[in-house]
Amino acid sequence: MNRDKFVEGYLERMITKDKDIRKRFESSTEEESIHLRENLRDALSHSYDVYAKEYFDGGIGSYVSTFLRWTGAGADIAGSYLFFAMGGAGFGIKGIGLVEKSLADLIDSRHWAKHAKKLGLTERLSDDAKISAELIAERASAYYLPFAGVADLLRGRSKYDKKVVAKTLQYAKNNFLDYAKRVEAEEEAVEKEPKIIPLDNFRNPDYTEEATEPATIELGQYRAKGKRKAG
Amino acid sequence: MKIKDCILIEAFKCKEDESIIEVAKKLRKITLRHIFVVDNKEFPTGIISVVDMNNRVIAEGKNPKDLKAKDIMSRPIEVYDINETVEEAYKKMAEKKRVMGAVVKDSKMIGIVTIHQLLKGMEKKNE
Repeated sequence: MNRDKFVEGYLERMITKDKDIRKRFESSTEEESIHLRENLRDALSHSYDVYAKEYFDGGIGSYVSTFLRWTGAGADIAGSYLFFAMGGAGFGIKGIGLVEKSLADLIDSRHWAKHAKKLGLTERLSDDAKISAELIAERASAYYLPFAGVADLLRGRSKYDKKVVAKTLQYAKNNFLDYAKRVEAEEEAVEKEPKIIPLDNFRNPDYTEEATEPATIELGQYRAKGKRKAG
Repeated sequence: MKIKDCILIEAFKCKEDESIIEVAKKLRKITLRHIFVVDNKEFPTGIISVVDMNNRVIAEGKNPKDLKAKDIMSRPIEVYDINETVEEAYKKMAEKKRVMGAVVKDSKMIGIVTIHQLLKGMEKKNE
């Protein structure tokens, strides 16, 4: 899976299916939604580069495992039907198929383990245990159930891919939510400053010092005039 | 809607230990009829009106030079946090039959909110 396919494939899915992300989009304006979408796209792209790129660029190992998985599945299914016609030989072909599939799993599992270790995924051990349990169940069921081999093929490497994709999406989600929180906090900080009208706007012009001065002067002038008259 | 979304009036205030003469000069300069009194941490603790000046100083025959703001201020007063909703603030103001109140942010007085602004805020919310 390349970056573009990953980003485009999960962008809309995360907006509509992830409730935390959906909540952010629902409470935003149209303009804000455009910014949020761009940021989620960047977060997915960045997350892919950090967590998934190296894993999905599997190199020759992934081609070998795909080849073994398909030929193994073919032999497994053919062996199931030939068993009725050829007896033990059919069983042998089925056995070859199972060995091939197990080899493919081994290659994929080693690739996954290397990748998980590099990224320090702490859940790797529990993930490995779960995957190993699934493998045993699949291989065992392939002997008894007619379509189990097909199901095994379809699941193939995807059981490892899913773990990597889940981690990549979680990382992208965390980054996106951090960004959304930062934006929200910035907006709140701007809104927090209330509009304050300066006190000068509330001055009563009739009571200002300037308004009282002429009255004093007039009174003074009156007194001066009175004194002059009296004199 | 919260008080921070309302239009506030600049805080008109004096310190508790400020002399009455200084307070009177401030009232004369700004020409408002009330001034809020704040403590050392800028938290509003009382209010002085020009009527208080008359009734508690002049009419009592006291010497204004001997008095400080805290000696004649009316207290306690209602204080409104900037994050309080306009409904809560209006309810408190109406119960106390006031028309304005001191607004604090982080326990420091930053302005004055009038009942008129609170009503406008409630009206805006209901639109």
